[in-house]
Amino acid sequence: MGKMISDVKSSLCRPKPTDQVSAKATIGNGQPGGWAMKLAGNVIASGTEPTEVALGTGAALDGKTLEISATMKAVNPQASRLSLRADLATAAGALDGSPITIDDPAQVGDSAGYSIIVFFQAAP
Amino acid sequence: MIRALTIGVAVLALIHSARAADDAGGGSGSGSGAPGTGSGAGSGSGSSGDDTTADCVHSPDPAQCLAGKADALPDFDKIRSPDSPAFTLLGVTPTQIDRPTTPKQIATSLSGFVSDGGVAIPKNLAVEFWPYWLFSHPTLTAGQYQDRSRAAQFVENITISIGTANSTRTTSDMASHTDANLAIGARTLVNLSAQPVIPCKQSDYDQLVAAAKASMLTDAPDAQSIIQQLQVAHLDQQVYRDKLDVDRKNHDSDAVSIDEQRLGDDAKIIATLEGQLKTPKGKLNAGIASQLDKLCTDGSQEARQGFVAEFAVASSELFLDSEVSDHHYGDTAAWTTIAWESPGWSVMALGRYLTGKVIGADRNRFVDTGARLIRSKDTYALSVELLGRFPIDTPSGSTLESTYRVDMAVDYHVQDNTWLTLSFGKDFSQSTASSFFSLANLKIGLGDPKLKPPSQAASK
Repeated sequence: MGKMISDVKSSLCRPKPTDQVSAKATIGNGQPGGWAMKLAGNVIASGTEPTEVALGTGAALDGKTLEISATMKAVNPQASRLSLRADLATAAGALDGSPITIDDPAQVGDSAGYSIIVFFQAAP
Repeated sequence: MIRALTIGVAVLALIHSARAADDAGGGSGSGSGAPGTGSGAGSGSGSSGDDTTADCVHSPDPAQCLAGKADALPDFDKIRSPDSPAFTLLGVTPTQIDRPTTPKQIATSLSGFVSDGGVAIPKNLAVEFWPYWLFSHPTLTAGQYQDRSRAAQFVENITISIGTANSTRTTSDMASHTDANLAIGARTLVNLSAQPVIPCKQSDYDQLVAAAKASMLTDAPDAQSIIQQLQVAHLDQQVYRDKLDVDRKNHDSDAVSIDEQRLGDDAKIIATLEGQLKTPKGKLNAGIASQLDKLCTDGSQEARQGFVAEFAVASSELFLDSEVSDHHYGDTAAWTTIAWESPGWSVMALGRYLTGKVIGADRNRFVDTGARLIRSKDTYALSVELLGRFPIDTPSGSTLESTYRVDMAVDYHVQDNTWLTLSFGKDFSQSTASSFFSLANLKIGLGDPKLKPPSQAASK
């Protein structure tokens, strides 16, 4: 039985009020996994491959919290790592504080459950 | 040859009977010979399996401890080495046609730490590392990894190996000298038609997604207050980040100093709160851990069925009397192995160009061609290998003729990660009396046997 790795990271992002914000979760290092996004208490997307998820405008996101939760398993013996990366962006590019990455060494058979928490505050 | 065969059969019989007794007694297989988490390669005694290198981790002098264990090994154990190109060139691998494989990120043999120190070439050093996987690749998904182009595989699968081996030389005054051979090699692997035999099933992925939803930290009651504190800390940090920008523009060094101090304090608070959140996250994960343990266990991304090709090059340097200052260009080889792999059978064909030199003589050039057949079962693997060596460019007056090598090798699963590998046969040497060789080794806690694919061995 492999070990279970738990890790949490957080960030503050400040999009402009009119900017459309998107988020993308990537489970890296060639390892299989699943992710889910919860915005302000509602699950808005889930999957296994990286997908751009539209979150809304900066004004609509002001004060809200996004959680990206992911579980994954180390089956790629070459990588010896498990990782989750969250990219938050607008049409103008990546937001400050993004990407947020959790990256831990792991052996084949290990699993990980990660959470990345993003707090939004509309930029002045 | 007969003596080596007798030893091998006796060791196999002993281990088999010990394991049968263990099984009959309901043993869990968690004996002392299964370090399990050890890294690198090593050897142990043929019967007990309790002489592991893991003991040396806690030794006040690990190098001395390892040296002592190496000295305690039977002679046939000392010649065990990884099947990296460097060691294939040095001629100390049990077989010559190696199964194309994707080696571990870094493999270091036990003997690699047993060094004379100083300026002497270390004895029996064996290191192989994978440059691509020395670094994390957080944007490389499982799908992208499996669907890599052949060109990408060729580049990303390159490994570098370095090895040394000693040889004894007798000079005209009958003095015996121990020389060191240092070889550097590289290899890469490309899947031609092979596909994973059983990758993670769609139901596995569905469960991973479900587990991600079920372990949302923002749903955990004991995480709420910490998340709120975390938000406050981030907002406070942002206030001082904005203030810092203003104070820097105003060249207010005192204020800048205070801002930087506050930013540092907030960063510590955030790190502490994130650390505290690991507890509720860990509780959530504990609820899904047993479920995750069962996922993606039917196969591995290393498992393949179809054609694979390995390309390798290696070159060696000879250090007379193991002195760094007295070195001579040794052998250079380049070879390709094409293999058809399946879970039960593997067939390999080898083509190799080799140029070698004996001190004081001219350089010889050879072409090796051969084939190898492997039969894999759950607890053992058998291999038969035949190689022909054909001189293509020998010095004038040379009488070198074509030679051949034939050998049989067996992997036997002892318990847990412990595999015994034995090899017997006739080497390339034209002298019949000296051409019979035997190589044997008990590999402990190191994961990969010599013959079986790692994915099959890992399932044991």
